[in-house]
Amino acid sequence: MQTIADYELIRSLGWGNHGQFFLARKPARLPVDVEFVAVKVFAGRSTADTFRRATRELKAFAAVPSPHIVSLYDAGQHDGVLYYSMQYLERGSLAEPDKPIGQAEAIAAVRDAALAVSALHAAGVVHRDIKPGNIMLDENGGKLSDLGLAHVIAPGVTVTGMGPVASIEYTDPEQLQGAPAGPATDVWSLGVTLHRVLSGKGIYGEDLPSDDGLLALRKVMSAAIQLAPGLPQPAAVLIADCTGPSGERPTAAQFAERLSSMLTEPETSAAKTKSASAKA
Amino acid sequence: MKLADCAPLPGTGYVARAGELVVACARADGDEDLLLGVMDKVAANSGDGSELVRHVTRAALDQDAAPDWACIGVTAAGGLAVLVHGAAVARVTAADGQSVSLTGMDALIPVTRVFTGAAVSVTLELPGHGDADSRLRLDGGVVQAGGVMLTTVGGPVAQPPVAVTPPVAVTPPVADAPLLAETAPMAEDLAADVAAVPSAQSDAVVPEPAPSPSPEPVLHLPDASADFDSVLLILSEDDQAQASPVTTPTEPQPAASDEQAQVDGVYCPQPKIKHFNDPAVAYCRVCGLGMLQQTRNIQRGPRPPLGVLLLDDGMTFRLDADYVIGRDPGMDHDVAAGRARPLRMVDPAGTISRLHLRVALVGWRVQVTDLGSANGSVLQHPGVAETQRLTPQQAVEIQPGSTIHLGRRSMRFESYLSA
Repeated sequence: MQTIADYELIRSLGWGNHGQFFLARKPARLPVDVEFVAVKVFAGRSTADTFRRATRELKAFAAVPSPHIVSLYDAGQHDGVLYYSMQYLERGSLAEPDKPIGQAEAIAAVRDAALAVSALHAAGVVHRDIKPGNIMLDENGGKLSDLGLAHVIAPGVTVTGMGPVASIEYTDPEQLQGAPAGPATDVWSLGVTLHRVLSGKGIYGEDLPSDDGLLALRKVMSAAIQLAPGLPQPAAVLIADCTGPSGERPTAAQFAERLSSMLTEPETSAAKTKSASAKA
Repeated sequence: MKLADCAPLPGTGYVARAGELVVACARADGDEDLLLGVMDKVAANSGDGSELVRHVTRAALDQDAAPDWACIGVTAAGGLAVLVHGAAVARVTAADGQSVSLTGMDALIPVTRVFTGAAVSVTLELPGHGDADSRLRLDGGVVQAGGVMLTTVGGPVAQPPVAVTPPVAVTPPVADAPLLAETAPMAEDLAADVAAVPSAQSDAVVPEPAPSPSPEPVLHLPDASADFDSVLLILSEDDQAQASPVTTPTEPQPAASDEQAQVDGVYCPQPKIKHFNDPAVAYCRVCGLGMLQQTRNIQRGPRPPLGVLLLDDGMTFRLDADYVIGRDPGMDHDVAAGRARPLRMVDPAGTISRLHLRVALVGWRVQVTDLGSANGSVLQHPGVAETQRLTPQQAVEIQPGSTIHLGRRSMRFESYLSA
């Protein structure tokens, strides 16, 4: 039996930025009424300073009041390995749902994630790693997970070498060029996530190479954005706005509002034939 | 290109297949174990046909006589590498019906070729083989056979095959009909390998191949007997009520290393977004526009990242700040003061020092300095075979494509945009 701290790790739930998620049994000391939790275990050895800074960021994330944020339980460091535990959502993420989901449900989940991002931004927190794989599903819609901690764990890192390297397709290229992460870079990621959910494609035409970080980086830095044909008009405009100049992007709250109105307007149902598929 | 059908021919030798690699050999006393072992090793390593051909060549040259050996493998570039030795024969047929035969009979050393043309079929024949029976099939493993008939699927790949060097004298003539796109024999690779044996002056550290991201990272789990620290993140109702938005300062003061340095440069002539460039370059690094008209108009501006550091484990770091690399980079003064970023690099064998190497951005240039590490740092400039051991505390400029070996680990400086 593999363990970290007093968690018994049952099985892997997949790789995320900088680490691996596990399904684990909840230790008795945690005051929550669940049997299982998800634990993210970070790769590499963490120092006392890394642990302190990561904990500070996770606390700020956990304190943001929003029904669309995955609940965090506990963060720790064990023998130089950093981890934190959170609510386990068995339906999986938008990238890998446990069963196929309809497009309306997928759009609603992105909208919920945008509401979560809006609450984070209001609290001064930037997520930094929004992508379909970090939008979890539950019976009430979407829940945002996996706060980006790359800047704490390995400052300056652009491709972590863990998880699919193609996930940099969700990152604002200006950030890869050294610009600081902020609300506008999160909105970029929301726009690309919506594009993936609606079309099954990334915004750079062909999929990015999944095994070569440098090639993927070069493509993101040099390729022109190509929105997939056949997107509903309001969605295409919204995605174009999100990937425009950073000063002219909508806020996360405006993004959520525009998605909500798309969900209620009938003409978007024309594009509902394709089932939503998304990749992290 | 991939191998499709693979039908053994009747006979008394051995034919073995592992993925896209196939070997055939006559029955002899023990030699065949060596050949089969080579295939297994290559299959477990890269699975690359050119590596198979190189290793089989080397193994064949170690034999006293010329054993009847043949092998074939799909190369990393998507071509087909073929080797025949002794009395083995290979017949390669292109989709348009043209064919070429290779035999080891007239040569002293193994005969090798790389084919990059369109879909082909190949027959490897050992002496005394029987007629082909297309009902037979070998998907993997070793069988008793006198040869093998193979077909391939998938066209050639766009990029040319790797090693293209002039043929050596010992290779036999090939059929004169215009044939499949065929590259030079590979036997001289061996000669090159021999010549590349490090001379007395060159460095003891053997440069490893370019870093390739490991597809399946390994996660280190803690020793269960060790103590752990934990911090509860669950908030009570009171905590939530208190968590006042807006005032929560989550972003500490950015480290000095995160601020973009100001350097002298020139803006490219693109009308909408002007890219800031090194005044020494002739074309904009982003849009490729010529900048000859701009070179006199030098201005102060924010320096863009100068590229990335690509580590051998697939991690990529943005070169928009200085880095201190080592097992414990946090103990460096500049890291503590926020003037350089820590980049932890570890090696289970312990060949990386606590403070090993510093990467510094100076104007538009990148420099590396060994920090007096125990095992040293070795620099390999792009396109140059010789390596250079860094003198401790002495900065050396590096170019995109340069590889730096730190103990047993390595990293490459790459430019963001393809050159």
